[in-house]
Amino acid sequence: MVALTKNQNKWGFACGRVSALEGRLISQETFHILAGLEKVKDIFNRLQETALREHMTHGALTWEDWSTVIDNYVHATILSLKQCSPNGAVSDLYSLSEDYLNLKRAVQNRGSFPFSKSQFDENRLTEVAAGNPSLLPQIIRPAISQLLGGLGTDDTDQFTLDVVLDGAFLRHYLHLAEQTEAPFIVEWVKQRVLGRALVALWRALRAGQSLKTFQTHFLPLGEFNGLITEISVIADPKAWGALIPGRIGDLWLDSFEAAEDEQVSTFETLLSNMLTDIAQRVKLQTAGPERVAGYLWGLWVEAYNLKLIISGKLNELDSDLLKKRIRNTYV
Amino acid sequence: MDHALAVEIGRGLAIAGAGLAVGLGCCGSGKGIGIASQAAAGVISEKPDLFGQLLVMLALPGTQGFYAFITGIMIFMRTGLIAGEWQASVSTGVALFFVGLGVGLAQFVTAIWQGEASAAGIALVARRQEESGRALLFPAMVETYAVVALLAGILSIIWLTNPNLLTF
Repeated sequence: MVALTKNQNKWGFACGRVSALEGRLISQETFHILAGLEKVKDIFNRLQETALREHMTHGALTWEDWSTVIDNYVHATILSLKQCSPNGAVSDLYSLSEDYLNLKRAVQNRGSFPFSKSQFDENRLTEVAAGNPSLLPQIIRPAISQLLGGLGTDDTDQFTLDVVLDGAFLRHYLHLAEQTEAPFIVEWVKQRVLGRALVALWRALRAGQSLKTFQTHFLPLGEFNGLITEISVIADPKAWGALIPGRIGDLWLDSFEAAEDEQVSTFETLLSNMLTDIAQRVKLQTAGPERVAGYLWGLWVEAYNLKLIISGKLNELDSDLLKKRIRNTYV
Repeated sequence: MDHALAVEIGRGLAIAGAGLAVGLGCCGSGKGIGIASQAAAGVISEKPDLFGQLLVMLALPGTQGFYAFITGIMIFMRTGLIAGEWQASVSTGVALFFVGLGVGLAQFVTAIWQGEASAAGIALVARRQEESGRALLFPAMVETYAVVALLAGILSIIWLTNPNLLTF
């Protein structure tokens, strides 16, 4: 178990804020109550008692409205914590996914970049859209360079685009974790990266795609290069379990107990719960980057659970099914 | 050694001890309050109504500075710098130097740890406002040892500068 950093008093203000903000996170019990409500309007009324109310507007009943409300809430919190943190890399870990949605649009030369920008500003994205990746970080530049100008619109090219961007995202994510200078965060991020890489491979396999693309376009991914190369030539994902190290290997095998069409989502839920379990250790820290990272993970899980319940209600899914899919919360 | 020189050396060492006590104690208090203040400012930015409850925990690490000040004044008084006349030896001066250093170090370290304990208590109050009474206990426990160091310092200064009191 990696130790938390000590004597990080410069994080005192950010962690003081986190102490107050943690009290506003939605508990597991409340999510179960929300999943049991009949109408989205009832959820709207219940959420008026939470921190989300500042971002909610009356009449927000479509999926797009809800998605925007939740994304704005999460992004505003990440940004405000970044502004009062001594090291912005901790917050960047949680805003990076939106950056990559913008980057994907830039690579496809789709004009506007509507998602929140943190690592890649408008100027960088415009340059990428014009075919110039020189403003991108060195760690992802070679991968993005190979995409510019040579992509078609057929399914194979779109799959390659997704694989390259997924690999670049995970490399960038690992790089940001190292910038936090907190060994606990680095180890935690490695677990998440391994989990996400496995899910990407599994989904590609289920979609009938060739995993050889991962060997050429997804890597390098640090210490996971060997593992990913090894499993990408094995056609039976259940056999991967013997090669995957640590707790994630156990979770992988556990997920095969679910019905076939729910195995991937079951693994994702188990992985998320494991990451939450590890992250909860940082609640013992008074001041340090791990405390902020732990809270932001809690916020991330909260956003996922809210979207799950609201989209489930809009699509009239069964309450028990939704309750089963709710991920463990940080508080 | 000349008696007058011995008296001056003894007094100089004692005053240096007083200076160390006050300097270390105040530095510790400053750092301790700084640690607690950062945590409190973060909480108050989200929950301004908690200011009153956090103020006590914020101020607690400041007491060590006052304890160190009392120790310093005691040494000043007993060495004749403020009032009276210094009659003791070099060895008493050396002893008072180390009393001042010891008390100063104790106040310095306890103030910083009390700042850390206060920050932890502040985090607890931020999440559970109703626990403010218990949260105050954590830094208060650290205070005990700052008080013990102060009492030991005062008794040492009195006994060292008036050997007639050392009768058991």
